[in-house]
Amino acid sequence: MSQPDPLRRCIVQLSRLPGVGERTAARYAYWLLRQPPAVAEELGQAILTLSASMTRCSVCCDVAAQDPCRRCADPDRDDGLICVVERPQDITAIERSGEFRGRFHVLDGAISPMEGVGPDQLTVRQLLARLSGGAREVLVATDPDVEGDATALYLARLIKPLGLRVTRLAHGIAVGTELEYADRSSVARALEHRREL
Amino acid sequence: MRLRGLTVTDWRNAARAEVDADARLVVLHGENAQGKTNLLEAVWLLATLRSFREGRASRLIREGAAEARITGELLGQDGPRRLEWRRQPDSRELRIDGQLIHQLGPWFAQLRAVLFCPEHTQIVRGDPEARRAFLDRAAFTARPAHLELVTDYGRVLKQKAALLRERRADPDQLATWDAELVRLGAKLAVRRQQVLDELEGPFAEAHGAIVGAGPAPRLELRGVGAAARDEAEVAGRFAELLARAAPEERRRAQPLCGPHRDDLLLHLEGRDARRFASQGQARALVLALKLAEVEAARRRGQRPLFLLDDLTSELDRGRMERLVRRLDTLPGQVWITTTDPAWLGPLPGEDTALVRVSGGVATRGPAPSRPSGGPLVYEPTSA
Repeated sequence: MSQPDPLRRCIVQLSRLPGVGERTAARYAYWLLRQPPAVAEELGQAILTLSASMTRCSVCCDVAAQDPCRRCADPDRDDGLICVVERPQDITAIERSGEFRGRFHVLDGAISPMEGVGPDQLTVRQLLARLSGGAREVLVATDPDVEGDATALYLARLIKPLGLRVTRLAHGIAVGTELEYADRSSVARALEHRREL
Repeated sequence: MRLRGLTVTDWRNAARAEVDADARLVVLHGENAQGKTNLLEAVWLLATLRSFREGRASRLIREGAAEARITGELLGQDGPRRLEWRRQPDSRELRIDGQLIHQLGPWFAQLRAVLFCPEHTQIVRGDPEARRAFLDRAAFTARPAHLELVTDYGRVLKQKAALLRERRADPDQLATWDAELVRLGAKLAVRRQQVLDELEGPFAEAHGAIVGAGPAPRLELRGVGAAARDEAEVAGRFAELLARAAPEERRRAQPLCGPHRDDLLLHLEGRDARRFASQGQARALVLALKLAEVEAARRRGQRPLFLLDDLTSELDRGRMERLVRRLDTLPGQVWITTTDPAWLGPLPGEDTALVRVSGGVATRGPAPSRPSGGPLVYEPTSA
């Protein structure tokens, strides 16, 4: 057997990242080769620490460095409002707006029987368990696709009978997009969810 | 609307072909297997991004080539535009006037087309699926957003089917998928009925124009979407039907009702054309349906292209002549492929492009001329 080639190994491992093809992986590997060793060391450490020290928050099911996570531990957030998202990254999107001061819940996907994903594969039970703690409203921010819509409807079906308000994140024309340039399905959604003035 | 020029590169088995199509009527003629239908398919693909034949990428791209390319020079109400479609083994690129586009809305807004090919007699004589596909295709041509509705409804249906196959389907989840099915299904049914209402008059009229006087054929949608003109009413009806079918659906582990089971009935002389129409009657009915689509589009202010594949032995002489006269009155450009233009009978001499296709190469010949009162004369074209 020939000697394993470290460059080749690095390229192959990098190309396993989502959205990274072999050519991009090669670019990264050659770039790393040209940097001082500290750069690769820092990157390697960051990756190692990630899998070793990240855990899941037992309250909101987000990935976190501590349990409960810093958002769940924050006393200034509104316990009455829980925003449900499909993925941890979606939290960042909502946080960036600076408009939301409630709590979060990460579902870990959306209901899709075709892929064998039902409520038991998601964190639905954990969500329901949280609701007795003073929640008034659940804002469902799942994706605006067939599975995301069905998941929202399913949650509403379970949660509404508990006397809580269930809302859905509005979808429609992007802010900054002029109506004439908006795509068809965004306009259709916006029309469907138009509101009273 | 007119497609003035069509260029295909490494498309199917053609290395390169250019069609000068600046005419109201474009007749692609030549022996079989010379590439006529490939060119018509290229036009259809520009309009719909779908093939009407084998659509696998490996078959679209000429063997040994890296990508297939189709370019159309369009002349519409907004002036000239250039549509470009490129297909690599696992990706696709669309450009309008050189600008890469990512959303399909603007693309579909450029070019609409209605297609007739011999296999479409299946719409009359085949399974209900062929008739639903016809209706959905017509609804898409009218309003491209219909495509998303059909896709979403189909996806919800598949999800529900998958859930029913699970050993103990969660009733709350089943109710959720049913609610989505009802919401999308009611919309789907209403849109289909709307298209049907738009087709009805033009269909009877076009049929009369082809076959001559006689009782007008009728169209009728059967199933949960029958006479669906009010979304809330259809939704109520559909939900009731689902509730009744629920035990049977669970037992058989498959969804049993919804607009995906509806059928379009064609009545001809008081009889069910699905069962009684002859091959000739079926052809005339399908041609009338397609002509009705073009006419309905005209009433909406659209001027789609009408593409007719292999118009050779479809109709007897008298009906063919009447059809060609009818084609000359349509609002948009007409493309025909045929082995022999003589089959078509007298062609309008003005604004007609006779394009000979041989070995994948297209050559436009002189327009047909007709000495006064004499037969139509085709100038021989040398490739």
